[in-house]
Amino acid sequence: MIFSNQREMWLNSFWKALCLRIKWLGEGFKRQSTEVLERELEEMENGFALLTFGALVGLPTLPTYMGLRLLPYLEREILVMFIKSERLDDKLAEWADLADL
Amino acid sequence: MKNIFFFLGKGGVGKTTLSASLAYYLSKHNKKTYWASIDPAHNICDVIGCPAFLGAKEIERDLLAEEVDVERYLKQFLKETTAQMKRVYSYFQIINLDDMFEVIKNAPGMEESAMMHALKDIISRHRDMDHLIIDTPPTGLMLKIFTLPFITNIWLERIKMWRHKILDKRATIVAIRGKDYLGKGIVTDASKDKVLNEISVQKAAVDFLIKIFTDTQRSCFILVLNPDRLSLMEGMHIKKALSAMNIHIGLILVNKFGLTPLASTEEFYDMPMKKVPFLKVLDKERLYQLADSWAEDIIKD
Repeated sequence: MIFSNQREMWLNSFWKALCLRIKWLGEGFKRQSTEVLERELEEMENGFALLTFGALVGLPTLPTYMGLRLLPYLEREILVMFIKSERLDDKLAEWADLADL
Repeated sequence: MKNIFFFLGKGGVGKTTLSASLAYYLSKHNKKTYWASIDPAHNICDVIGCPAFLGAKEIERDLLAEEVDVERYLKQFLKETTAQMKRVYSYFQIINLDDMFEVIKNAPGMEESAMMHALKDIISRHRDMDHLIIDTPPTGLMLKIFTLPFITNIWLERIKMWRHKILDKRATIVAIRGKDYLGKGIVTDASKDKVLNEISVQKAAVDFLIKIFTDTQRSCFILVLNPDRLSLMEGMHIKKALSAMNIHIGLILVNKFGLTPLASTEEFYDMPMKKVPFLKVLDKERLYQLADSWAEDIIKD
């Protein structure tokens, strides 16, 4: 009887541990899959901000008037652009980050 | 029937004079006419001989004239943008944005944009008029104003496409990682995105102008020239630049005809051309008579 209970408890904890690991594995895959998407998104948001406000750095952009029209709604994109431009002089670190080193 | 007339040409060729003659002609034929100048150096008042006025003024029966105050459109736009910035970014409440916008007001392209919007506003506000006559600034500025909707349209098409891609990507990430993963208030739905909404509003405005400019049934571009070679050469440049945007010149008026010998006009062989004699004195009656030889044809076309 005691032996049977112990076996059941062991099985329970084994299943729990297994489920947890599978969950972690799933989470890991999720994170890995979205990491690439998040980077792509950042690049696109950076590009969008550069298209809109690139005049600041001498890029051909849409007319100033239109840029000003969109300015109030582009807080996130502008922040991404600033962060990206801060890292421009450290491409090696960014590459290492990208390669998960 | 054509009901919007744009007068174009080199500075000093007589755009305002001939637009005035068409305005008087139409009002004399009991057509409700709106005559507006978008040239920052207006001279409607000088032509009709009255003191400067603000807004629209009835100068004849069925004839309203306006020297469009572009500065007012610019100020209005900056005021709206400032208010919107302060609403969205609370920290701007303590910074004086008004000073910053004084600088932005003079940024390249701002004046042309304000004129483009003024033009759109005038055309859409006076749909009830039988005819609209627009006196434009000299070539350089005029071409910038007429090119702007086409260029802006290309940009807006591109950034609209780009924005949709951003929203799609955000939606995918949020679907995998949860609602607030990218941060609170980050929009993933195209119908709720204020950027896309603003792009659509601006695109509607430029589409409206492009449609008006390229509608040969409704709009007529009248190129005013003088008989001298320089004026004709500039006319050729205008013709080429407008053709590139699919804008066609409906009539060429050679103003001040007889003052100097007429240079070669073979470049304009494919366009209707009328010669308008040089008049020393311009009063209302003479202005009316000036349009008598050509106005009827362009309205009926």
